[in-house]
Amino acid sequence: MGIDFGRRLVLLRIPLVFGSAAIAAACTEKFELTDITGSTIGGDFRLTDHTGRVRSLSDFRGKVVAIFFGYTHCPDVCPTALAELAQTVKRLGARGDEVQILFITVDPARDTQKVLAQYVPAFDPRFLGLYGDPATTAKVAAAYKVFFAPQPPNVSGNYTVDHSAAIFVIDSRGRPRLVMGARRTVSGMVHDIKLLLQG
Amino acid sequence: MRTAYPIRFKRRRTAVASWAVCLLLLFAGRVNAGADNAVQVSDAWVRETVPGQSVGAAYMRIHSTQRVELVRVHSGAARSAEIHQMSMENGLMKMRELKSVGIDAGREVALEPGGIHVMLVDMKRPLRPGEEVTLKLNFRRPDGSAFAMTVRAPVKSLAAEAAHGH
Repeated sequence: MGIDFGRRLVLLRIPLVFGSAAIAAACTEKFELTDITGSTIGGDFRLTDHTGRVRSLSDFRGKVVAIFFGYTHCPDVCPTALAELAQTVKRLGARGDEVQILFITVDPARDTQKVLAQYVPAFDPRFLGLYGDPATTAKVAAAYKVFFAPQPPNVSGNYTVDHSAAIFVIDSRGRPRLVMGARRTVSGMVHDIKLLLQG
Repeated sequence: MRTAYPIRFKRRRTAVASWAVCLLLLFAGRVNAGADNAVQVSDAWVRETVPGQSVGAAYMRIHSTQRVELVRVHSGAARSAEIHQMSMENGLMKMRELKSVGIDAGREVALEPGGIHVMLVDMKRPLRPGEEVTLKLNFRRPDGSAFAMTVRAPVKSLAAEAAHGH
């Protein structure tokens, strides 16, 4: 992905990066994935989870949160990303319970609560699938600078949705910290999330 | 005069080459009338799917000694199958349906994660590792004639893919 996306973010914040890099170099190890500490990306939202409960980002304060925007009619990138997140959480062992994975659908028309309730926990029972109405979905995606665009359906009515495929990581205090793009690896995600868990 | 010989030689080679092509085409026409030996499919596999996931992806390598096009795919595991090209541009994932995939003579085309896949649409049930999916591949030759071949694609575990790949 997201080299470009990441780079753009980084370029926007060169002074900030220098500042935080100096502090980071002084006291902590570096992240392997794109550090977005200090950016204003994301923020709180109100969406419904796959059990029907209304959820906000702030509900997960105290946990490291990883958010992936996708849709279930996506056979390549989406299940692979969720499987990587499942591996990541598994490799964190007991500390995996301190991480909350959120899958926000960009296709609420097809990804109903019933579909999400089957799909999302199949990767890991701790994962939550979130959905909103089209307007709310668009608002949340925009806050995370996630672009998505449903394509016109083909003759059989099937359609795909273009979407940004990055994973956003929010620390336990609700601050955006990392963007994990196409170059992510499970070991890189484990490494970086461990650093965040250490505080 | 120094160049005369090479030019003549080149022309003769061109003539021989075009005769060879004609003969090959004739021969190819005869071979094509029967079962097709030109196409070889290897490493076919399907990604494991989870409950609630109604679409799946199949991958394979297709080698052909003659120019062919993969035009349609059918699978008993899904209501329909479509050929899709996935691309990543600046972190944006796009999938577009392809009418066909062309394979030039002597070439191999890989259907692989992050590139082209066969999308299994409206799957009847989740695909579990260890199972096999049958795919019927329909090809078309440049002369418009068609042939089909059936391949069996084992279901690959998502967890194993996430752990190894990427």
